Amino acid sequence: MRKVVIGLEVHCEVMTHSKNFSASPNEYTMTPNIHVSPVDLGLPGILPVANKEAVRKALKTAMALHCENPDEVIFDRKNYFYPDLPKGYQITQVTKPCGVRGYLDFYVEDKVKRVEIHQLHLEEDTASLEHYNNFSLIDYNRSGIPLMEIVTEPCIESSDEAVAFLETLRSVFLYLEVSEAASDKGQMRCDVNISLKEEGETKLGTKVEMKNINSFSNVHDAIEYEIKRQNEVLDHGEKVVQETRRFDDTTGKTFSMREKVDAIDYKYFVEPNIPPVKITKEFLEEIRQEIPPLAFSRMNKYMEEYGLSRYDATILVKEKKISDYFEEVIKNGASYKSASSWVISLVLASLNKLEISLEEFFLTPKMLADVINLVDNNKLSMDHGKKIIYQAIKEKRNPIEIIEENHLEKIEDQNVILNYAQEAIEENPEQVRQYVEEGKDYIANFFVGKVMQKSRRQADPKIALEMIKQELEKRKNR
Amino acid sequence: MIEKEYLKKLAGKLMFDMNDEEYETLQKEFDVILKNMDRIAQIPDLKNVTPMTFPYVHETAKLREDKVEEDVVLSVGNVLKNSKHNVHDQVKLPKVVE
Repeated sequence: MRKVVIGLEVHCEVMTHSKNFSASPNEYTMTPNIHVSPVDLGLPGILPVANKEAVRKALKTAMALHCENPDEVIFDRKNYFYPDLPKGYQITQVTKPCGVRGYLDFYVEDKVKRVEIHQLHLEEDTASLEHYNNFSLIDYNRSGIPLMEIVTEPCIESSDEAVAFLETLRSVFLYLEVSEAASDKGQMRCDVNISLKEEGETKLGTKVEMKNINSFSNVHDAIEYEIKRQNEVLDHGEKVVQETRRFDDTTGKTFSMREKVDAIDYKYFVEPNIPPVKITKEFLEEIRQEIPPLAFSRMNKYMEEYGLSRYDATILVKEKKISDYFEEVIKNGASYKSASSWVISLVLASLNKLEISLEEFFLTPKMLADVINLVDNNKLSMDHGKKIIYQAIKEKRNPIEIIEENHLEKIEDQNVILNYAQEAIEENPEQVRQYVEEGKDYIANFFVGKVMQKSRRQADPKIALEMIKQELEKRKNR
Repeated sequence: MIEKEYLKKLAGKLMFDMNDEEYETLQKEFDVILKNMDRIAQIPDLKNVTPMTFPYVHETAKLREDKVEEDVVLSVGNVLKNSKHNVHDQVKLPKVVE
């Protein structure tokens, strides 16, 4: 059994107003070549100036990944020739990246896995190419959009771990609000380095690189295919060739692009057009203050402190806004378990059904908490509670208003319930006979139903059952 | 002098080619560059010297505030001005992947 060794290089577009080194817009559009400045095209005489917000977000992400931050911002040139790179070089970071030596913890099933982060650096995106039968088209809108690259150590051991890592990393981006990280817009892309080694072997096997995989499911499939392919090569006593391969999602296979001997020497050197800028301790501290608790720590809190299941905790932390909403419901007095079950079964279900986001959702955490509290304190039946919530969402009204207007608070007054019970008993002599003479105890539930009907479902069913039994037993003893 | 074949190999790696005259010009330019490199190599005890990328420290160097400036954005016409073949407001080129 050979061991799988995987390292990932993840690219993620940074959310800013302007591009990384020019003041043209960083905005997704389908109209080609409308967000392009001379700097993005690398025209003669250009002077790139680094975007403070892009640097801030890269440093922030590096911090959230427990990386060490540098004392100054320095950019480097990576030189290569390709039609998507009009300058002939990409501005990136090699000398002093925004973060080095970090880590990210996450769950794979119920186990915690730690992936070591080698480095995080800030660079610029390339133009996008569209390929047709016998020609390609270039759109420079994407040229110069700030891009973070996160490089892991080769410490991932399966496709499931790789996908769980990517999902957690995406949630870090979203929690930090540094990127939309939408893979369908190409905002998050991944290169996979994969090799196999014999059990007990300390030296890494020959690695194969797979470039620009644009979805998590494709990362999973590409890794699975490569494990199988490399195992077959080694089983035949052959050697794995060090090469770059391309994953084709229509066939689910990988194809050789170029071998290592043809590898490009990027001739890195410090970008002379951008002078180094000092990063002050105050700037770093300011950024540190902006980092919210992330999904992994929230999940642990929900499980350990709130006693929620891993399944529920996973659902609640998936999106920061949902997790924030859930925590607000708790702050408004709802119990952990009730808040969790109402948010998952009502709020998330409604969002799905209505196909809206939380921003468009009418029900505030306070409104939900008010209803939960009434139900938990036996002032409102669960049944009514749910109906009112749906009605409130539909009619965009405060649920408390609906409860008051319809007198829906739960009836707990024993005298009131007793009246309903006696009425029901008087009206149904046959059922009374069955209970009294034939000993059919379950008939009591029939009367609970009648009491609920009479009370417009406001009566507390437990008290109703108690009252009914008490009345029927009296008849038995007559 | 640097070999022309070596320059051709490097050009190939960078995916471009030149005519003979251009290679000769480049050979002459490299001749000067390499001679200068040799002179630098003669300076003793350089092992522990940090390369100086910038001649002096810009104490006032700052990062740019994240603002869009519409006047830096080129019209599509200007973006495509240097390109001979355009289709649908994009630069057309021979297919670059198989």
